Amino acid sequence: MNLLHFAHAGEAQSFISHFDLTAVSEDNIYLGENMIVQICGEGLFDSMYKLGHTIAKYKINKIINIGIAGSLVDELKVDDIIEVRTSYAFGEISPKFNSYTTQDIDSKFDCISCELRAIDPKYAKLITPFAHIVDRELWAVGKVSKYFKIPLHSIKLISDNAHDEVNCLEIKDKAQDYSLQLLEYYLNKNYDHEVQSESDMIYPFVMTHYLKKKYEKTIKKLLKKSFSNIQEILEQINLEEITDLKLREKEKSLLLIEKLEELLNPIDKTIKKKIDILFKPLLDAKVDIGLDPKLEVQKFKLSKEINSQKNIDDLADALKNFDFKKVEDFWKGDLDV
Amino acid sequence: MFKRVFVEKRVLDSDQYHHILKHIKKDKVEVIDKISDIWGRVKKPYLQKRGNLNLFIGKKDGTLIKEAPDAYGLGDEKHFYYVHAYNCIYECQYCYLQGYFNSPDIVLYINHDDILKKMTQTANEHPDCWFHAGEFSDSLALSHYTGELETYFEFFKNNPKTKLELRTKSVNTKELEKLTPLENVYLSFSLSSHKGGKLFDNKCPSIKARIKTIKKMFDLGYNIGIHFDPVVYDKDFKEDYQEVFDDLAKAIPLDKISYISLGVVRYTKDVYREVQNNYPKSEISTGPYIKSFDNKVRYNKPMRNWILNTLKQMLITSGSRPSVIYLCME
Repeated sequence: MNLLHFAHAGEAQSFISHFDLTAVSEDNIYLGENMIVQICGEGLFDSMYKLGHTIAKYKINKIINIGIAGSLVDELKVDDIIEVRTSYAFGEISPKFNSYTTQDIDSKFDCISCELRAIDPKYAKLITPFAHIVDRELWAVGKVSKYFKIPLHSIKLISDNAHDEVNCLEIKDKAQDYSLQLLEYYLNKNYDHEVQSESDMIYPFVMTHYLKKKYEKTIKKLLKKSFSNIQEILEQINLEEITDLKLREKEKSLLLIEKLEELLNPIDKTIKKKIDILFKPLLDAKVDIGLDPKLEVQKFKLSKEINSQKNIDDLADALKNFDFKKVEDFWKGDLDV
Repeated sequence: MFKRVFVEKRVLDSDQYHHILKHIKKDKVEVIDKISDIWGRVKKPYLQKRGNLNLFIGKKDGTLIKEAPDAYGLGDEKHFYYVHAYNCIYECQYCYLQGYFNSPDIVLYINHDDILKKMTQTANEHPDCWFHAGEFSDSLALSHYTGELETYFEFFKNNPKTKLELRTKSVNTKELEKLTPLENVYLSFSLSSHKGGKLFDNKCPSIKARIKTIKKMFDLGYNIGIHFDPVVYDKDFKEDYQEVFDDLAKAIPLDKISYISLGVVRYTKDVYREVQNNYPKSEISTGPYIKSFDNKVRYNKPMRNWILNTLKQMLITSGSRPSVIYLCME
């Protein structure tokens, strides 16, 4: 469900009555079928802990911060309604470093949330270089939404110009008007549509959690290349051939992932083939080769089980036939196979 | 180009500021105390450079000249870079600036006299050293705004042993065309394959346009350097790069290029994270990367060496002098 966050009851009133929401607690939470309205009060800290509590209790798909803000720039006038792109914050004397960007990345306006009320034009001058509007909560909502990985939107109605002397009582008196305007904007935006899910992943075989993650990661990378869908990728690697093999699901999954990784980066197959060729004399003698998996460290370890003189003789023969110079050339970039 | 322009009040009377002012609307200018009060104080998302790019103009305090890392340039001379600007108007997907600064806003430092004083001191200690422009920005893209090149040319004219490199992807050579080429000044252009340029060099002049500019500047008498950096591996990279080498050879004789560097794509982990966030659909992050010897994200050693050696050999076969080709940051 969507969580609509407000600082003040005045701005929330139209939403509560329009959606016929029911008060559920003394925490100023109003519940509907697919919506929660929460009124957190003014300031960063109240929003932070109250939202956190609500998100822990309910399944929230989206957070929409709605409210009024002061304009810091000439282009935004009283009664304009905008969507916010990025939120910043300002303490008593300096800005906070972190910023939080909403889903509305195409919006042109940023908001700075201040610990103090921006009623003094001198304070407004201090914060103006950072954003286009000023409020007191959005940054906190952004912080919470980022922490919980919930998409965030923000709609702000410009109630005043922060560079002028601000009359808070006047603004409070207009709360009902503001609420209606914001509701109208909200309804036209249609935030209530279902969140679109990412294109469905196809899992040809039963996979462990680890293999699933590896498979998904490779498929996503392949989709960035020239493939338009997963079906196309699976056809490219001849999935049917793997399916027909008499192997367990896990083995088929491993083979599938191997083929996908080869498709993603064919050079890896070339490198693997080169390594097999270089170490063939040792591999044939059943020697285990310990190479740096990243191939960054230019050394390797050998190990072999010895339980007879023959093992030692085989190892000696294999080492005699092993050409270390070719390995050095490999590190220097000789990948010819 | 710029949404807002912030100017330090201590530079309001400077000639350099007034030169820049010719290119911006006066009503956009907001006077501030210091750039450092605002720029980089908050984390401004990198991609806001697309529609919300601001300009800061002021003086650089602190370090003005820094010694460059090893394998930065050709030869045994000392290499330094000077700090005259931060950030770039282009948007290359692999650019390390996206993980380096907290803001993509452009900063133009106009206390060139201070920079030149430091250059003089450095050149006195290392007479045949190099100074590089374009470490934190493109050295030519906004050169018509700043008009600074003439000042630097004057210094290098008077210090003929010391060398200047102007690194760029720009085709904005208007200011250079007004100046007389110097023997100790090098224009170096970053190039990739045509395909790579289209895929990853967002908002940059095309490789074709850059090659055309290389020819123009070569014909005017400028020393030309080329940086094939970063090379992003593609299964067709040999064919793709041969095409660019051929196009370059048609423009200027390859054996007349002063130096050519080759470098494979590499990122610090911060930059790599930013690349993935900023360009989630780009194939640039699909490569077989590992964390390498210097903790950077790059291809493994055999693969890097293979790519670099292959390209080096192709360049030599196409007519480049082997002695001027070097590997960057390897």
